[in-house]
Amino acid sequence: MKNSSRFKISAILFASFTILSFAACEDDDEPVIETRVVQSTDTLRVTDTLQANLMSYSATFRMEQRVNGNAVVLNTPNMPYTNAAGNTFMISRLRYLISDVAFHKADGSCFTIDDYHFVNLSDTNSLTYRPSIEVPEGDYTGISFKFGFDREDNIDGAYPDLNSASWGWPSGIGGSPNFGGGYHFMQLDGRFMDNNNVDTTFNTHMGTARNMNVSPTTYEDNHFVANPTISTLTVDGDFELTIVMNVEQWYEDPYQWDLNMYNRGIMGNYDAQRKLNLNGPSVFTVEIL
Amino acid sequence: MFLPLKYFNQSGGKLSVVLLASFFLFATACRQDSEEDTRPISSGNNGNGQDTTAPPPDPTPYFLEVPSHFSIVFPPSIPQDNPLTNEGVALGKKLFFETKLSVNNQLSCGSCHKPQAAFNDPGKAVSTGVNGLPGSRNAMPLFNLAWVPSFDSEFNWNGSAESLEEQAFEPVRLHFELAENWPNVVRKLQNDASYPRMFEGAFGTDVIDSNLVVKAIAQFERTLISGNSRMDEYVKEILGINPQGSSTLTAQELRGFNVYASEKGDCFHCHGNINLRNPLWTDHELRNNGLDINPDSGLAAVTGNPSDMGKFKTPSLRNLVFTAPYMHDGRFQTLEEVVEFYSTGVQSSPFTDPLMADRGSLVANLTVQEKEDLVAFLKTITDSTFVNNPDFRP
Repeated sequence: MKNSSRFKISAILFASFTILSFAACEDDDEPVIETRVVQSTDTLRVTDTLQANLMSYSATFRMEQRVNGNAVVLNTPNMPYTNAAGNTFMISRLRYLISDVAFHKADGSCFTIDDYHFVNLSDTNSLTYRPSIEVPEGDYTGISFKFGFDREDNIDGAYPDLNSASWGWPSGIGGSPNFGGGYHFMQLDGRFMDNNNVDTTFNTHMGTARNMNVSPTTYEDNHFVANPTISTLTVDGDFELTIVMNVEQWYEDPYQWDLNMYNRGIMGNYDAQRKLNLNGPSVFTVEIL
Repeated sequence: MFLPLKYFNQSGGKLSVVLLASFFLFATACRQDSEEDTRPISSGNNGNGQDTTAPPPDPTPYFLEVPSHFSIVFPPSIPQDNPLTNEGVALGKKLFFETKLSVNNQLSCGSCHKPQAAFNDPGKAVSTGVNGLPGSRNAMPLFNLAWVPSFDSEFNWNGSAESLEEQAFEPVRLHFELAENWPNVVRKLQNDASYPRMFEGAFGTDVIDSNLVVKAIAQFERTLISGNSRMDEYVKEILGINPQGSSTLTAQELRGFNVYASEKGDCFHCHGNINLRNPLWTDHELRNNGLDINPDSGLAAVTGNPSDMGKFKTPSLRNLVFTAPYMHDGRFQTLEEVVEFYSTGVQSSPFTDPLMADRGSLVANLTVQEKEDLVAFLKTITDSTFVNNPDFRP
């Protein structure tokens, strides 16, 4: 049913970009060892080490979304899901953003794919993520990624595909340290039965957290780093992983989220945004295929 | 950052390289109406005295001039099997205004999609077909159609067509529109003095079939680009394309944009361009905006899914001054009525899109001043050069 020409055009652009990047590396006669330190606001320090003379292989990530172990189905006529607070709900839309997938070694070093991926459950193409950057061979004991953008990358208007998707976060909520509001991290929309048994809508949207409880108002980087547990991953060829969003976890751990309290209009609600940040790290699991 | 904006700006809005590359992948799609085909036998002479033994000249790639600030969104999507060519676009334009597409040779696509009204049928809730019968939906304005995303490639108010080419098949056949059948259309065009030669120039064959007709029309439609309004000039100033201080928006118009982009107004979730980063002014999705408790079927008529009841295409906010009345059924005569609907009239039903309430409630409850400001802002996205462009006139 779907026309794929847009993706083909973007693939041409992306392929051109990738080829140029790797061509530049190949011009160097000396082995390239690049080390850089990334400081996230969650105080996680990771060291990226790229050993250019290693073999590298392509990674494919299957993006899956589940509620209590069952695949998310959009726009169900009933409310098939239940969260920890006992709210029954359905989902009409789920879109989210991850960035900087990193592979960690036992010695503390890691390799980061400096990239992002936008998932739209209505767009089946987005459920497969194949970064153009390949992963060096080796044994990896951990994987992590950022949910949303960190402050460095959350640059308003910088990403045409996200602009096309109307993924922007209002500047009035996102502040202006980077000229505007940056981007959403997640849009999880649906309906639930409220305490009065009334069919009610909810919009669990996440992005920069505006804190109006202090003066002057502050705008807090609200991404988090997901570190799902994995068994050792040996990269000695192209490989696939499944990244699973367990939707019920957004509403469960450590803060039990009641949709009667936080349902609509939470983008500018500081407490709601920070609670999503707290609950987020337990949302994701990774399966090695 | 990963793919910096400047990377996409390197083209300066000129995406011709990619478009030209796709041109050479040109291939003819399977014909949908082979049973309707009325193609004449051709044996070296096309019936118009032209020698067809010589290979036809290659068509010339069309240079699609994209406004510079459109580089902040994805590039236009041109099907590989229907690249834009000068000959194809010219043919498509002629066909768009061709009355031979109707049963009585009196109406064309352009009869209800008038260039001077942003290709809408101004003043009419629904258009009138050749038999005097009313249509079923408001005629949609036509512009920036090359930016419809691939995964949401749905055309018509209810998303019933998956491509511009497919969409162009429908009006010819519908009894309340052009009420013709495709074999007759092909026969009339084949017997016309000019068309066989134009098809040969565009597609390398003088033998006309309906697939080539709709391909040509779609090519023309993809050239209908609107990006030259006062708001566009403001955006270009914000992006540094135009010099500072060069835009002319009034304080009221800017207040109106702030209502649009505020949590209270919350227009941006559907019409995009929050922080002025999407000049298309729509996310192209189909949704139920709460017009009715018992809505028109909308997308549900296409998918059979009851949850799609009342879902219609989110229209662009461009050129609204030319396209009244509004909504899929043309129920609102003025922009003031539209704004009032979103301020106080959105209906709650099991089908209403949850995004309609992300402002905290289904209705925005705007003040009189906010409503006036919002209307003033909407009028700034008016592209008079588009509706007066001679390239888009018959």
